[in-house]
Amino acid sequence: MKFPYPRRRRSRRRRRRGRSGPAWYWKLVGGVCVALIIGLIYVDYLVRSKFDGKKWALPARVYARPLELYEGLPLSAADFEFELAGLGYRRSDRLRRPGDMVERGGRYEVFSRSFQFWDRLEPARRLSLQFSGQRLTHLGSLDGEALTLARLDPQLIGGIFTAHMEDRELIRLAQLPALLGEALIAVEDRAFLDHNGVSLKAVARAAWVNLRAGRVVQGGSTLTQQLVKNFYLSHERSLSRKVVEALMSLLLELHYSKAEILETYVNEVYLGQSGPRAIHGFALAAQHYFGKSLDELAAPQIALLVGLVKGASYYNPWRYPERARQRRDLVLGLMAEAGLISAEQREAAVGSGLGVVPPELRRLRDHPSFIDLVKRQLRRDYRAEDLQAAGLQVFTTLAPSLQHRVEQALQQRIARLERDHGMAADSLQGAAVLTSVGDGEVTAVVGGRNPHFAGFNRALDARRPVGSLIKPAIYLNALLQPQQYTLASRLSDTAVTVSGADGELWQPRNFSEQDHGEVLLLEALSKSYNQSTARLGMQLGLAEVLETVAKLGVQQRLPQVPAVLLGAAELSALDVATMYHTIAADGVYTPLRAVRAVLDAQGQPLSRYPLQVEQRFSSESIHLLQYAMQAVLRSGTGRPVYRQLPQALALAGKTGTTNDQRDSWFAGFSGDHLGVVWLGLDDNGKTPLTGATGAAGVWADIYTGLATRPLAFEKPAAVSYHWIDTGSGLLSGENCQGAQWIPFIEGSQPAQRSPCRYMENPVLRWFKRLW
Amino acid sequence: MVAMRLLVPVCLALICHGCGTLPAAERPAAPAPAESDRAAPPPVPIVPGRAEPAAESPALRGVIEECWAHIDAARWGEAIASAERGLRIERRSAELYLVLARAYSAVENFDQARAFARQGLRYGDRAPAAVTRQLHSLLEAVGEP
Repeated sequence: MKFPYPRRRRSRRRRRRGRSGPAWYWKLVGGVCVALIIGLIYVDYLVRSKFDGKKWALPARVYARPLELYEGLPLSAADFEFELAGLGYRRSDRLRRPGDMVERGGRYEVFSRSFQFWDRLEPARRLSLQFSGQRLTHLGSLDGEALTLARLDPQLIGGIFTAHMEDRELIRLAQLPALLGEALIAVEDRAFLDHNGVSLKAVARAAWVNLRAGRVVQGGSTLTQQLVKNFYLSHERSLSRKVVEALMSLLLELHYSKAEILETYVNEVYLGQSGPRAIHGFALAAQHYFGKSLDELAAPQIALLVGLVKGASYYNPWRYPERARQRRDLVLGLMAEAGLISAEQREAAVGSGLGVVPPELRRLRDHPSFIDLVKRQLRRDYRAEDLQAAGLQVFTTLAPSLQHRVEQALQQRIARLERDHGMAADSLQGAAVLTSVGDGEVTAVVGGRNPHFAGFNRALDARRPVGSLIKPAIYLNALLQPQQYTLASRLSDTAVTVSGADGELWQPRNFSEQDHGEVLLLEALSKSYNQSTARLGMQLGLAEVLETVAKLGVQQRLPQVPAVLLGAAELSALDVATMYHTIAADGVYTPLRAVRAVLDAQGQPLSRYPLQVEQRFSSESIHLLQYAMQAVLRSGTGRPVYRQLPQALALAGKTGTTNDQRDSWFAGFSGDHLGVVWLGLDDNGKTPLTGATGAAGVWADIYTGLATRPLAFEKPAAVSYHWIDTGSGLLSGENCQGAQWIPFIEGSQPAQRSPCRYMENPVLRWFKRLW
Repeated sequence: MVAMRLLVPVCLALICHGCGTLPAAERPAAPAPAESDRAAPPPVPIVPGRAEPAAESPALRGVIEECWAHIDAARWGEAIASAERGLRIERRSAELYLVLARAYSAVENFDQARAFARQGLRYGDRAPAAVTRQLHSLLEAVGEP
């Protein structure tokens, strides 16, 4: 029986196979070759395009304000030392190089570093300085030049990174110390100059060593392969990746010189971690581990850096000092073997200390809340990718010593308040903003009790009811109408009922739940009476009051409801700082600034953020308001402040407390500084704090020991002072009981006199009693 | 003798009284009695003051001279940057506001020129008459909006 079909089919198949076999095979081979060639071209393209193009995303580097030094500068010696420490200046017995400082019995000598600012190159100088009290009393040059003003290099306070948080400081190969370059080659790839990207000898040696050890103890990768792995590929370990790595290494060596490859390597290599920020390249690593530039490193320090290439986390010198020391000593041995250092040098260095900076200084002094403000201001003018990748230099207004002062004050006072009031630990939160008065520069921002935590920025984003902080706007609106209102105008502080637009009745009560009858406008503000303020606000008109709030600088629209008069308006600490800055700056509105200038990666100016001013209120009405706000601290709700601060320091401010004491606020200013503090709970819960018992304490802590000048409080020509009877608000006399010397805009003082109950001069009375 | 015994304390009393009477512009306010304050020490009176003049400081003078050099060379941006640097030393320097007003006027930013000229005039009472005069004439030149 025949079974032709299958056979035929088989034979046909065989025939077909037989006929087409070689062609198919060659097609496959050809296809594979084409694919390989395309793949090769593609890999070559990848290698060249990345190497020729912009190699790295360079984050914007953010600097604090440079410290300007001149005789008369309000600055304590302690704050000066803090600033120098932040800049990494080294204590020394004499000035040898930039970055050295000498302190002898309160006199300082500083070798400042040269720095390219937005306006000029500040040269390195040898300075002599002396402080007395809270001031710099002597500034001189040790180089014999006449010097009245000097500027220190600014502290690097952070960066604006991509999601990978890679940071690096680029250097040219010529800037790399020869010893470092040679040590790197000696330790990582002795045949670097000879191979073509892949060293079969090194692979074979590593394989043999690993085989004998029974585990992976040595790698066979050349420096070129390491660069390819870090620069182009993922950290996946697979054979295919090794093949691609080898191919790319060969291509890299084909197209580029050894010098170009090594230069890229020393800038690319991962050398550690600073919080979330990844430290890449030797230049940044030198700063990170030793607080020094590369050219300042000694042989043992170079050895440690080279040793870290093998595993920066594994040999972390702070976490595993012994491990790091062993690795460093091994590298020193290899350096001696290669003739890079002498045997004596190796002997002297082996076993010595690692010389890394103290652990508390190893992190970049990050100020996430302030950087957050900087980013928001820059986003108006720059694209995110430029900020993250274009290597911009951002010069900000942050004053490191002030930032530290505010952080400390907030942290310590919060902990104390929790303890004293039996609050749950870590429940109370806070925020603070400090600005300089006049130029609107934000000098410190703290967004929470943990200032280094880059989370919710309460200083900018926690919009909370401001309570009585809104009152100065109401009283200012009244004082702008001197024919109707003066500080001696009488207001009724009895129960008040206000009908809202929707017919709802609003019946504000004083914090003390007590009525005070007829009071002067001055007393109503200084003692923060709610009933009289609500009455005054309604007399003035909600729209007019809100217009004054807006003119003070608050940009957001506030609800036009009566409750806004007592602070139902929700603002952030930064909003409040803007508003109070206008009052502190004599009625001149200045947008608050966190950035002074931006330079490109080459140091060319891109943009400046100049001072802008706009006179929004008359100096006369502001003078009256500042008088009343000084009374807040002298005799009103802010009195606790003067339990800590010297009476001679003229200050003005206002407390704020919201319903159920959910928010505790204080805003106040001296002649130089304006500070705003908020305390409360994140869940908007009740606290046992008022503005006076909570935030005012933090504010007073900030100002304690702060080098600041008293409020200037100059009397405008159109203001005159008169003795006023505080009971009636009428004219009185110097020696009349209950008389107070109060300012008036010319012509607005009362015409009538009150009867005088003569108060005898106390000195005369004493003498009378004597005789 | 008795007369002498009486005369000495009376003179002393009068001298003390005289010392206690300050010129009108410096007179402190008598402390206002407050219900809750009876036990507390009387508050320090609030009196108008005067900012310490810093115009004489060599650092500030140096910056001002630098500003004028920039103005003379028509380097307006540099003049503005230097003036701001000076204002960080003394924010009430009328002369620095004059520099800013001049620079902004030159770059035809008349709003800021006006604002800085007005600001300078606010602090003009301590400035040389020439500065005040220039501020007035500049304000006149840029005109009211």
